[in-house]
Amino acid sequence: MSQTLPALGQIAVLVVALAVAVPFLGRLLAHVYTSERHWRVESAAYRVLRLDPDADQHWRVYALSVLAFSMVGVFAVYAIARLQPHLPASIGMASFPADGAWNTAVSFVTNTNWQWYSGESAAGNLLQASGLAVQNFVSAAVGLCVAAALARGLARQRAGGRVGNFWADLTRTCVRVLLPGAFVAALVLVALGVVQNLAGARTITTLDGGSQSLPGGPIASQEAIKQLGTNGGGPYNANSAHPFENPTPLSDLFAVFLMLVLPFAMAWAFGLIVRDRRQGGVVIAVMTALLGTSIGLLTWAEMAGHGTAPQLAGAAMEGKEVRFGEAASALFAAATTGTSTGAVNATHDSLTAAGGGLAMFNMMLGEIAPGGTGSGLYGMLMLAVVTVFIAGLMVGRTPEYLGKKIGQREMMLVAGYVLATPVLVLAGIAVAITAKDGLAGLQESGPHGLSEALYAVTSASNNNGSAFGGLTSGTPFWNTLLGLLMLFGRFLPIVLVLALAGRFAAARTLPAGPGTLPTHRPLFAVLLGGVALVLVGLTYVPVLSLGPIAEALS
Amino acid sequence: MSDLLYVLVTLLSFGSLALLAGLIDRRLADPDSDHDADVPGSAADARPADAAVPATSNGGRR
Repeated sequence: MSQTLPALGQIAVLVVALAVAVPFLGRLLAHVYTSERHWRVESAAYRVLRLDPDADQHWRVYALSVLAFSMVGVFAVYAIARLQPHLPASIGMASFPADGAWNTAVSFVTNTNWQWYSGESAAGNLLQASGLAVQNFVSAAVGLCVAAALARGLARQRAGGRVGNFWADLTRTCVRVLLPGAFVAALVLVALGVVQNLAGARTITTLDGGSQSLPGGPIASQEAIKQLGTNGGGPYNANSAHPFENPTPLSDLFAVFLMLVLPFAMAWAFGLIVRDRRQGGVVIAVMTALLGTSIGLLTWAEMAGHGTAPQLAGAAMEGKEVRFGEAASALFAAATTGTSTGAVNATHDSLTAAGGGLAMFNMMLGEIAPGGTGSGLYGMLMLAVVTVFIAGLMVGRTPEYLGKKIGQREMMLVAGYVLATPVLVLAGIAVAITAKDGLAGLQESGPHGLSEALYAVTSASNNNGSAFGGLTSGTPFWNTLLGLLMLFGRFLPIVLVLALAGRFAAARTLPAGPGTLPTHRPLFAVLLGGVALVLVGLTYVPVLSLGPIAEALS
Repeated sequence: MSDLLYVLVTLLSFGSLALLAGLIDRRLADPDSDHDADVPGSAADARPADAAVPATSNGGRR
């Protein structure tokens, strides 16, 4: 049977599901970040932790709160990973090496979830549930909080650089959005056949008399927040290709839905927070156009599948689960790299050169289509500021965004944001391919070898977490390099975003005049999408041409 | 020994980011700012109207 119809059918189901869920969740998120009332359970938490949730924080205090909270998270996960054999519920797992524990701690705190280890043979239940799963919630919440702070900054005026209260935002995001959302999603996943128990490995006798170890655990509950929070780190090494984690095409499509729903909903919430739904609509339109293009191109690349074996098989099926096929694998790959999820249901190393290059390009785009929870929105808004600035220069209009004047200081922050991740990626790949220890981790040589290393540093710097495969990354060199890229790739942009939020919050909101570029019209959406593509193209095409493009042309 | 190394790397990384936040704040508060009436700490920001805005409010944007 032709694969085209199922491919289009799954996309149609996904679009309908998102169209129903995004407005609902968008309204919920907008309410969460603008409501002045605290729930009882939240008030109790504030009392216990001696926090004042009504203290409106200056952006610098907000940023320091984010940094302090995240640093404590790194130390907590690091300690659990190192002390694992001495702690309860470790189910016999050994201690992580120091470099591996640090990489894992940074990885989960930064919402990257890069995994150098095999979950089923290295992480016990305590580490999974108390360390990694907790970070799955709070790291996703941090992204949403930062996006909410930026939206507030744009909505307020003359607020003295105050952008909200991080502790209140964090608590509300977890209590009102992520915990109930993940609970419902986990129930659905259990109903769809995902494993959920507290057992360790179970040994069974196979039909031919052999013995096999089946790893169990709280899989559905972790899978729910793994996808909903655009985390991506799974309890199994095969991630979403494992039948216990992702058993059917329906659970696969549900996983894609979970990845996309909060990033799109946050863009909807943005329109409500700034009290101009059209602004959120433009952001959603650009996100949708970029994601749709990516899905289309990736599906085409995998279905066309150059080479003798792919053409005999009818598609590039190497490294793909036959339960899902190439269309669902391409959809998953586009969604996981368009968001900051990084979960995989196929081996990205086995994608066609064009497909692998597209997955990399999605991440290089800054994961804005639709991006991670919160990070997608603030990434897109930073590009919107660049767009109004460039458009202003082109047509002589005053650079303003939502009534906020875009001056030298604003552009300094935005330029820092736009440059931060590419600098990390390009410096990272330079270090990786010039160091002996870096080259030692590569399985392949030539363009594909470069792609393996480039994918890893791109994934880490953009906090995606998916791996190309082929790279042996569990070494002190790679664990430390990728850890540093993840840490600065997450928090350097966040500091700049919060600084801009504070800057906007302190400024007056100017009324729109005849010289104001309308930012709610289709022309602006086209400009915004164009700026995103051109900025990335100019930055990364040289290195892409040495890796996946050279491989595709050879 | 390696534990101490990674603890130091973590402290230095987050410390440098905190330092950067402080530097940016000072830079933005510079009186040479292009619209210094709007920068944090300036007299214009001491206006009481927005000082009472709740932490989670979007500022009653009109």
